[in-house]
Formats: sequence, structure tokens, C-alpha cells
Amino acid sequence: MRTIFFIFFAFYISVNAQTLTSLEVIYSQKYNLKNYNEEQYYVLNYDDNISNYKQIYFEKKVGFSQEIEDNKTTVTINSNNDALFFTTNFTKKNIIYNSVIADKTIIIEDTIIAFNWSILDEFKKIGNYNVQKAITKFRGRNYEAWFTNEIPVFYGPWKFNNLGGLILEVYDIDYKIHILAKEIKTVTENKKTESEIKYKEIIKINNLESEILKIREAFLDKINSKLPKGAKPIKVDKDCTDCGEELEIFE
Amino acid sequence: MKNYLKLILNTAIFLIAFYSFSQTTIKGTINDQNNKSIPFANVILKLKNSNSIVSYCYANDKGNYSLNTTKKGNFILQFSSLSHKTFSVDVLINEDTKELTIDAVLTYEVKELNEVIVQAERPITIKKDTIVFDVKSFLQGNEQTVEDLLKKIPGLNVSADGTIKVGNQEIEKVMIDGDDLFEKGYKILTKNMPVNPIDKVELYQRYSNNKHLKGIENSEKVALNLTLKEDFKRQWFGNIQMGYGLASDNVYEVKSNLMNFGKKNKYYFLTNLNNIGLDAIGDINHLIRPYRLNEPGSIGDNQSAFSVLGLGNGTPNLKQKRVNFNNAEMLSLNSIFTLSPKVKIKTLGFVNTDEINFYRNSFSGFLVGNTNFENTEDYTGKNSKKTGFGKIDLTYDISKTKTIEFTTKYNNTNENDRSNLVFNSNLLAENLQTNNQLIDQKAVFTNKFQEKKVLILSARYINETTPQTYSINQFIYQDLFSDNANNLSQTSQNKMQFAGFEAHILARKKKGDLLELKIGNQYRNDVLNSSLLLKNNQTNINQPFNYQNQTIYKTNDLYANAKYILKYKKFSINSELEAHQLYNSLENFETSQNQNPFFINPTIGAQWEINSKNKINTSYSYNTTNATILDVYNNFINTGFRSFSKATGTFNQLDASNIFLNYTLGNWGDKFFANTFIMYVKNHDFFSSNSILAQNYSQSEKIIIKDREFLSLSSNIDKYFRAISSNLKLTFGGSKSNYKNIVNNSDLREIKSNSANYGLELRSGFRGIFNYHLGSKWQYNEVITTINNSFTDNISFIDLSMVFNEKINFQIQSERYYFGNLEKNSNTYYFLDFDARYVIKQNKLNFSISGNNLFNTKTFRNYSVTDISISNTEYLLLPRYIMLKMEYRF
Repeated sequence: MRTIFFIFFAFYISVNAQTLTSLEVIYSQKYNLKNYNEEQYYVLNYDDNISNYKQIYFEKKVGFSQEIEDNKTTVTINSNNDALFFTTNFTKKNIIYNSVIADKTIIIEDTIIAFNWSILDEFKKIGNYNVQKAITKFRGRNYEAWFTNEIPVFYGPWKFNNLGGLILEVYDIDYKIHILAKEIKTVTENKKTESEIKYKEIIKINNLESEILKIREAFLDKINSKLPKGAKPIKVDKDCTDCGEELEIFE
Repeated sequence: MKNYLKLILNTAIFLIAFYSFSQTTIKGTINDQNNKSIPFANVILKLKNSNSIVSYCYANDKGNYSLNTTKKGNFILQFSSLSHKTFSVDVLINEDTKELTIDAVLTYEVKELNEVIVQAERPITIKKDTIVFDVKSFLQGNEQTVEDLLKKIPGLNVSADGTIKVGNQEIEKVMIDGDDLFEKGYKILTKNMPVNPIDKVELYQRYSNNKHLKGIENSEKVALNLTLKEDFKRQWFGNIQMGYGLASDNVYEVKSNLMNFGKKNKYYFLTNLNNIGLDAIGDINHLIRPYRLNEPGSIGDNQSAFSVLGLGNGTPNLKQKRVNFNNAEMLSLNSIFTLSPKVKIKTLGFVNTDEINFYRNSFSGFLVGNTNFENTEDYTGKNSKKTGFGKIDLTYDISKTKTIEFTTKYNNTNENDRSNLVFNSNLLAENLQTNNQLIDQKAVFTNKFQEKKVLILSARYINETTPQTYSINQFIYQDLFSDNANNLSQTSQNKMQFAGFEAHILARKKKGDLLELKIGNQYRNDVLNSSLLLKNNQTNINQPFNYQNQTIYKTNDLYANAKYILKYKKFSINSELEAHQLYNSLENFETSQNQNPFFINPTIGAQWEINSKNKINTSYSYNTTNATILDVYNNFINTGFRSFSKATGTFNQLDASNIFLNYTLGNWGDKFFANTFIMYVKNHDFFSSNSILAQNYSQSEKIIIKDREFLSLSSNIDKYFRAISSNLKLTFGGSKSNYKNIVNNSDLREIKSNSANYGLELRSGFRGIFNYHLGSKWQYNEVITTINNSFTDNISFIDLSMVFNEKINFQIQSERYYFGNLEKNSNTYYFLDFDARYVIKQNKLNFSISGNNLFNTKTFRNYSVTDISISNTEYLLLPRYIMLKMEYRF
């Protein structure tokens, strides 16, 4: 009888142990850069060594908070409907992500960044979670992150990762980017993150700046050639005060 | 020796220990109760009795972890994983602790996290179809005008000329605290209003001009609303632009906008004075007659009185600044008063005076059957016009779902036309007085009686008169009248009264289909009295009977309309049925007649978005239209110095069928974009003319003929070539039509006309200082009667632009016109204009110099062909001038 009970118990445990809890976290990500001023929504999910941070649109009606549920507003600001994504592969130590430059979507490979987080003795509450502050410097900007060890995962939004718990809020001290968790949900089915897609052309992070400039200029040429009669051409002025700024500043 | 070695070893060990004594490594394995490793679990080292994290790490995929710390003391080592219960152990780390091995066994536990985190302050709030932007979180400090602010708001595109778009859709209007003073002319506001009073920017999607129709009618419209800060002190702001001719006589332009917005009252004044051909009222045309095609509650918008007579004040088809010899002055005052939260009054008024001169010489050759003759006209004319216009809108919100709106409009225009005309060596002087008076009243009641259902009741009354008095100081109509007259005059009275009532229900169905039902009655009463007087000096000698009209035409149209839009995925079908019961009555002098026809106008159309690149739009309709007063009077009216016209004298309803098809491939921004439009109209019956042409007069009588066809096709293709950074645009089109008429007692003559056009444009998108835009277009026309006339004209242009930097830019524009059928020495015309701008302070002060007609082309000759004549006409053009302009914003 004891053995049967034990076998049953062990069986019970192993069956249940299969259903490891995984998370789906919805973040709002707001850019406050000159000429790039928009709020986007992303969902973060992961599978062991890969985390996927992917843009979602209101119209796609992912069961988010009530506030947004009511608003099936279609603010597709990108006329290009490719959703933005950041896939971090902790084994290959890379982040593959896309970016829309003018009318073109490009795929970029970034090397995984070993963030050197300093954990500070500062606490606050976000929702019902106690969060602790951590700071780091990354590509020309100083970031502050608030993470909670109540949710013990090392994945994070955007390119961030490897804090002592889930990052619920992160921003640079000038608020050029501000990421905030909106909703955290457990998914019992361990949803596999999308299998790796082979991309035709991947731009290495080191070549990014020169590639972007090339694409922007080619796009403006095209637009300028379609302006109505008499309209002045639009130009990229390299040191204009009114032009856009970049979030990541490469040295 | 052995001891010595031992000492060294000991020292080494001690040293290593000493060096590493600051670092403690804690490592171990994390398993579940089943002895299976737990990967990626979190290990945290915390101070005891505190939440403060000292160090942390994550286990690898085999459940092994390793954590380093330099701190000493009492700690808690905490193991956690999402699927397991958190497990903690106390750990003491002292100077001697170098390495600790702590294994952990975690118990399985399902954690349910369904947390919604709501953040208090958000710069962007989204409610249904409204997106609210909190202005202060978008300001970067260098914004001056509203336009600067809007450029920083996500999703809004502000183009170089100030056009605001959301995606590809231009916004409908920019309101201030829900009040609209500018309609589509919003750039005046966004380019001038300072940014500091603005609290929030609201973007309305699927916007409806009638707020109760929101979400019910089909709308792709977008609009912006700016809300003002509570404590904002009212201030006046605006701009002024002044220009004066350099080394040219008396050429000037003054334009100024002045405005002031408070929570309760809003004011907007503008003025425009110029003599360089600009239409001063053009700036506020959209305010006088807001363009709202097919909107519910627009009953009577298409009703106006007709006038019968005009002098020969034509201008060629060139830019206004080349041909319009004007001297315009316009002042407009607009305001909105909020009397209570429910009541609002909007007033609009302007006065305008204008003096326009016309200069033209023409030569026409008439060739019809056996008749042929030639006429020459040397014409100078002057039109002086004074207009006063006022409009009051009163809006009263009875409740949340009910609104009533009253609009009253008044217009008074006095026009005086004088001409000196040398007609085949006769010197004629004409004089025409026209006085237009309009009173227009409208009431619209909207009731949203259910969530998705709206009832709109509208009523309108219009009273418009356009009396005209015409006189000509010579008598050239001896062939028509045997009287011994030496001059002629005609007075006419054109009176129109309109009264209409309409009930309109819009119901939005669950699946998104839309049902519209309309029922209404429109009554119109036209009075056309005209009297032609033959005179000898001041004495009236005859009133020829065939040249007098006393017509009263009343039409009463009782109608019902049903419209349904059915949507299925990317496909939508709209169908419409409109039934009319007419009660027409016509009195010509003492005789009167009645007619009560009934007809139905059906329309069916379909839109199909095959995919994101291919779109098709098509429709078919059958239309019956009732005759207007200009089709039913029964005696001749003098409509120009040598033309007399007469209508049918009886009721008419004309039938026509329409088919159109539009196909779009690609989108505007793509490298390749093509758009084709085909239209076919068949008039089952139509008004043509039976005319008598003679050298000194033409008499034309309306007749009804069967079957007229018109087919037209137009297409354009855009292709971008990357190698040369240029866009090539090709356009081509053509039309074919045929109809029949009678001239000089001929049989029915068939007239066919064909036209074709083709052109190309190339425009660069270079990055440097320089850019070009050039193009050429050919137009072929052919008129076939018993004889065949055809010609090809060409228009070409080259525009060059040089943008040196943000402060200095320069544009030059040149045009060439070529007329295939004119004589060699006068068939080609060139124009050259330039514009140079220097910005002293961005958005504040700038100077510009513009040069107009630099080749000083003084005349322009046009060639045209009709079924009865060939004519070429020479017009005088505005001479060369160079103007210095200053623009200042305050």
C-alpha cells in the first residue's frame, strides 16, 4: 500500500512538474526622443534560453487591462505593419531585433550586453510589488531600473536582462525611453517562443549607424521626387537642431 | 629544507587566502523533491532583517549556481523559481568563509500572477476614438507655435507647408476647446497660435461634424482639438505679411491675421488687400460655404438663384497671378461666444470690394453649312464688386442626446460691369448692374434616440434674388428687329424661394452595416421676369413680344431615400434607392400647366480591397433630373451682347446612366503606384440647341434630343528610379463624346469630339542644394462635324530649387505654352518667375523677394474649336514686377 501511494505521489509530482510556470508581461514603452515620440506596447515571454519581446497593437486585442480592452482603437502609427521585436538568445549571446528606418524594415544583430547593474538600497512599490532600484550605464545614457525579486526571472524588456528579478520599470534619467510593466500574467502552457527565423540580411550593430544613414537618404530622395509642383525638397541636415536623436549613442 | 618549503607553501596558501578572503563563493545545486534539477532558479543573498539585496545570481540549465560576495555578516540566502515555493536559509559569512556549498530542494507550487499595474499619470490617454496628449510631457522648450508642438506628437505628420495628417489622412479641422473657427483653413491657426496656453491636444478619430452621428455614420475623418489651460490669460496674436513692388508701379499685397482665444469668447480677424491677382475671399471660402458633401442635415445646400446675363469677362486658363487685374480689399471678423455650457453663438462676417479689369481681342470664324462669316472683338471690361456677408450659428444642447442648431446667413453683393467693345469696327458700350441678395435660414434638430440610432430633422428656407439691368448703347440687331432703334436694354428679375424639410434616420447594425432612411419635401419657387426694350435714344419704341418672359416655375419634390451599406470582410456593397414624386407647375404669362411625374433613381456600388496593393471601386447609377427654371422659360432672353437664348417652355425630366470604375495598384509611398479611372455616361435624353447664327446675333433655343454618350479614361503611373533619385510620373487619358444639334435650320447634325492627353514629369529628390522638377503635357483635341478640326497643344515646365541652408532658399519656375494651330510668330509663350527667401528669425521674421513674369510677356493667345466656330483670342497679362515682402509674427 505504501509503495503504491509513493508511486502515485511521485507520478503526481512529475506530471505537475511538467507544467512549469511561465510569464507573459505586457509593457508600455514610450520614446521621448526628438522626432520620435511614441508609445508602444510589447509583450515579453520566454523559453529557457530565449526571451522574446514583441510589439503588439491595440486592435490585436490581447487580453490586457480593462483600460485598454475598451479601446479597440487602431493607432497603427507604423504604416509598415511589421511589429517590432527583440529576441534575446542567452546561449548564442545575441539579440536579434528589427527596426523601421524610413520605409524599410531592417534586422539588426546586437551582441548580448553584460549589464553591470549596481543595486541600490532604494525601494518603492509598483502595483502590489516591492521593487528595488538598480542603475547602470549603457551606450551613452544612465539607466535606472526597478525590479522585484518576487518574480524571480532574469529576462527583461527591450535589451535589458539579468537583474535579481523581473524589471517592472526602467528608464534613462532623461526619460528618453520609459518602459513600464502594465500587466503580468502566468501562462501555464509553456508557450514556445517563436522558433528562430533565418533572415536574409542581418546588420551587425557596428555597421548600424552607416546603414541607417544610407536608408534615410535613399528614402528622402524618393519622397522628394514625388512632391507636388513647386514644393521645396525635404533634406537631412546632419547637424540640424531639429533632427532626430538616437537612444543608443555609439562611441 | 623541508621546513623551508613548508613555510613557503604555508605562506603562499596564507597569501592566497588573504587575497581571496574578501570574496566568498556560495555554490550548490537546486533540485525539486523528485531530485530533478530546477533550471534558471533565482538565488538572492539578502541582509538578515532587511529586504536589501547584496548579491544575486541565477542557476544554469542544470540547476547549478554560484554566487560571490565580499560582504560579511548574517544573511538570508533565498532560492526562488516561478513554479516553486521560495526557500530560504540563514547564512553566516565571516572572515574565514571562503566557500560554502548550499544545496536546496524546492517544493512545487503553482503561482498565479494576474496582476494589472495601473500607473497614475500617463501623458497619453486613450478613450474610445479619442487620444489625449498631455502637452507638457511633449514640450522640449524650443516650440513657439502650435505647429511646432504638433510636430512632436506621436502619430501626427506635419508637412513642410503645414498640412497636418494622421497617417495618410488630412485632418478635418483644428478646434479650440471644441469650437471651430477655421474649418479646413486651420493652418492660419496652427502656424500662428503660441503654444503656451495649450493644456492638452485631443485627436478625434472617426470624427463626425454632428457629434451625435459619431460611431453611426461612416467616417474616416480625423480632427484635432486643443484645450486651453484654465488660468490662461487671453492674449492677442497673429501675423502680418506686407509686400511692395520694387521698381514697378504700385504693386502691393497686405495680409494679416489677428486672433484671441479665451475660455468663453474667441475672436479671429483677418484682412487681405492686394492687386497682384490673388482672390482675397479665397482665404475664407471654406468658412462661408463649409464643404460637406453628402452630410446629413445639408438640405438645400445645392439651391441658388440663377442669373441670366454676363459680359464677356473670360480669362485664359493660366495662373490667377498672370491674368487677374484686380484690386481687392477684404476684412473679415469672426467670433464665438459661449453663453452657457449649453448655448453657443458663432458669428462670421466679411466685407469685400474688388475691381477687376479685363482685356481681350478675339477673332472667330464661323463656318456652318453655307453660312460663313468672321467676327472680331476688342474688349475691355471692368467689374466692380462690393459684398457684405454675415452668418450666425446658434447651437443649443437640449440634453446629452439632443441638439438643435440654427443658422442664419445674409449676403448682399452689388456688381457693376462696364465694357467697351469694338465689334467689327462698331464701338459698343455695355453696362450691367447685378444685385444679389440672399437670406438663408436653417434649423437642424438631432436626436440620438438609441445607442446606434439617430434621427435628424432639418428645415431650411432660402430667399435669393439676383435682378439684372443691362444696356448697350448701339443697335446691331437690324436683322432681327425692323424697328428704328439705336440702343437696347434688358431688365430681368431672378427670384428664388426654397423651403425644405427632411427627416433622416441612420442606424448602425451590429455587423457594421449601415442603414439610412430619408424622407422629405422640397419646394422651390422660381420667378423669371425679363423684358427687352428697344430704344431710340431715351425713348422706348418697342417691347418685342418674343423677348419678354414672365415665368413662374414651382416644383414640389416629395422624396424618400433608402441606403444600405453591407460589409463583408474586405468587400463592401452600397445600394441606394431614391423615389421622387414631383408636383410641377409652370406659368408663362397667363397660361399655366401642371405635371406630377414619379420616378426612382437607383445606385449600386462595390468596393473591394483585394489586398493591401490592389483596390477596386465601382458603381452604377440611373438618374432622372427635373428641369430648372433655365430650362422652362419660353421666350428669348438676351444673355450676352450678341446672343439670345430661349428654353423649352415646358416640363422636362432627363434620364441618364452612369458607370465608373477605379483601380488602384500600390500605395502613394511605394516605388510603383498606378491609378486608373474610367467613366461612362449615357444621357438617354439631353438638352441640345437649335440655333440661328448670323454675324451680329445668335439665337439659340433649347431642344431635347435622345442619346448622348461620354466616355473618359484617365490613368497615372508613378515610378521611382533609385539610380537617379528621381520619380517619373506618366499620365495619359482621353475622352470621346458625341451629341447632336441643329444650326441654321439644318437637319440634326452629329458632333463628335475626341480628346487625348499624355504627359510625363520627372522630379528629383537630391540631397544637395539643388533639385529639379520638369514636365511636359500634350493635349490633342478633335471636333468632327461635316468638317474635321483638330489641333495639339503642349505645356512644359522646368522648376529649379536651391536650398542653401535653413535661412536662404531660392526657387525659379519657368513655363512654356505652345499652341499647334496658331501662326508661327505667336504660338509659343514663355514665363519665368522666381522667389527668394531669407529667414531672419525662424517663425518670427523673414523677408522674401518674388519676381513675376520676368520675360514680361504682355499678351497670351488661345486657340479653340467648337462645332460652329474656330476662334483665337488674345488676352493681356499682368506685366513684370518684382516685389519685396516681409512677414512678421507677433
